Amino acid sequence: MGYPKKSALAVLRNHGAALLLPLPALVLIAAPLAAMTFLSFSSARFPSWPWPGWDVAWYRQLLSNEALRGSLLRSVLVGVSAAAASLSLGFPAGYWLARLPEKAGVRLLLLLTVPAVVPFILFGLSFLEFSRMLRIDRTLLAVSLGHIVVFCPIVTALCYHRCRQLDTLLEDAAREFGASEWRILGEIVGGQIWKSLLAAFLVVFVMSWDEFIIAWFVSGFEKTYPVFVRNALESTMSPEIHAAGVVVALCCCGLALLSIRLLTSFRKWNGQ
Amino acid sequence: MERAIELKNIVFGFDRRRILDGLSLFVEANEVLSLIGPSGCGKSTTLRLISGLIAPEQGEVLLFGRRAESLAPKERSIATVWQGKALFPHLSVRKNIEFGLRVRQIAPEECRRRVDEVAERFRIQTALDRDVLSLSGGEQQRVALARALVVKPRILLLDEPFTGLDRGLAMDLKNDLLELVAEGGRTFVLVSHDFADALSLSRRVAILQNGRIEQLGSPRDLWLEPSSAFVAEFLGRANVVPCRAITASSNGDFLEVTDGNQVWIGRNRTGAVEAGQPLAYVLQPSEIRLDGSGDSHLTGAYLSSDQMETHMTYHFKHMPSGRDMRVMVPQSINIPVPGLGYGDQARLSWNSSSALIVPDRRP
Repeated sequence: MGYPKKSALAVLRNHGAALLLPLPALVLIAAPLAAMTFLSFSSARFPSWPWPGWDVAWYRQLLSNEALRGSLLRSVLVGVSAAAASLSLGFPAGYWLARLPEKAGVRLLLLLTVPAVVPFILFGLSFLEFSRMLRIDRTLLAVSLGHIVVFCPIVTALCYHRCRQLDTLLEDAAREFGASEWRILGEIVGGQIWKSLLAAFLVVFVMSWDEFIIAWFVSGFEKTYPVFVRNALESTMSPEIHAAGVVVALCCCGLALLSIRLLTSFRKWNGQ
Repeated sequence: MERAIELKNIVFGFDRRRILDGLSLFVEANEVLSLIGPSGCGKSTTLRLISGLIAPEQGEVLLFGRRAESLAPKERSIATVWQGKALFPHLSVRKNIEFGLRVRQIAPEECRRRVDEVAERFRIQTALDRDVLSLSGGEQQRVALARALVVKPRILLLDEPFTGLDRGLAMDLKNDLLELVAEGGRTFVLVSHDFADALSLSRRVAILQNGRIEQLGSPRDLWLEPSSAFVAEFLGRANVVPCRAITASSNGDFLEVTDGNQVWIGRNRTGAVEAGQPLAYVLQPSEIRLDGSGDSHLTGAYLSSDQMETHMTYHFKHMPSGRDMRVMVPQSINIPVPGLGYGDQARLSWNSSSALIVPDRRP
């Protein structure tokens, strides 16, 4: 039994003034995105006043701009592959660390998160050298690998914390029936925390979209979306970029909200 | 009789703590053995050793005469009903029950048939497609039992199966278990911290303390002839008064002891003792009288009384030790305790032949 849910109106009536407090922060956060959205619907190429009129032409052009579309697709490819690989490596690692004695697990986890805290500029530089050694420099594979190295520790940490919350008795129950460790990982552990795993996938995907430095160092002609935008800034900024930005921002916000929802909907079995 | 389980000198430690310390016991095929003891005494660890989830540091586990270390958990023909049920919360009731069958790669039609059969038996056939979290505690426990039995184990381990159930549900579950026991063909090990659970299900009970068996015997033996102060106190029935031997004795039938005030005689269950050795004097509440008859006595301060269905229980405080002394008087006898108020002194008496003198190894 929880407390009965209050209606939005009741909340507003009880806490009206207090709800206004975060408003300035929200305006500040949303303003750049709002400006970009605004400009993406302008009929003029450059910001001008009076308002030249509304148009969706830049969205139409976005579909026909092959270079921009290509960069978006490449970012999707890198994001999906980095997220899938990070999850495939991070989930078993997080589970394994969670089943170690607590001190050892935490120490190893900290060790694994080192790549994520090295400044990206240094990491990008070192990864460029590393990808040259592997002869994969200037390829999308190198970008994906870079993202896996950086984001896998985040997935590992997330899985570690979720697995620590699980009742290990369930794993023992499965083990007693003769289930293999892989089956336990997939069916028992994975089955209980699949929402968190999906959230981790989405988080890595969104972060990969945003990652510019490593991609800039190691991508060649196959530019990802952030690199494409960065290069576009050197020449003329086209409203198509704004249009693409709006689409990307909407997708990223949607995915981030979904991942938060998935993470907060985790229900722990407590034997009741 | 074939021995289903045999533990020989088992030593097991965890986190620099010795949990089982030279544990030896056996369970005969088709027998129900109860392991009882306080929290942390090694009961659940013993079950985990039997099911093969952990391996002993020293000693040997034999299952039906075979060394268990060479057997993987699924080859042991063991299933456990876990404390807290350990149901898989993300699977439906059906999926929970059939998990063990799927792991054993039983054909889907056979899985279905066996799940339906066991669900009917435990009255959960209408809940098969439900989420386990939506079930009541009693239903969850029946699902746990069905999940364990569907794989047709020869040994069923029950780890505190009655914990968290109210009296009615616990009674239903006991009846289900008694039915299984009566069917035969299975060996049971029941772990509980409650002697009453053991009493209703098993003919042999082992009391564990500090990773060792303190006493093993029939419930009646444990009750009436506790081998130590710990057993007498753990079973929660007998009065246990600390005392000391007055003189040394090599192995007499009776011993003379003192609580510091009185000299008492009781049946010796300690063996050879030295003069002044700390011992425990064990008295059943039903053996103590309030009418002054009996050859031994002590003075107790009256505390309170409980009116029960079949008897009255009077509580007194033993003066030197401050321990609670219980006196049980059947309702049919109905001895009044005239004019006793809180703290008033009363004479509690008994016959020496009904008292036991046991070792006191309590810390």
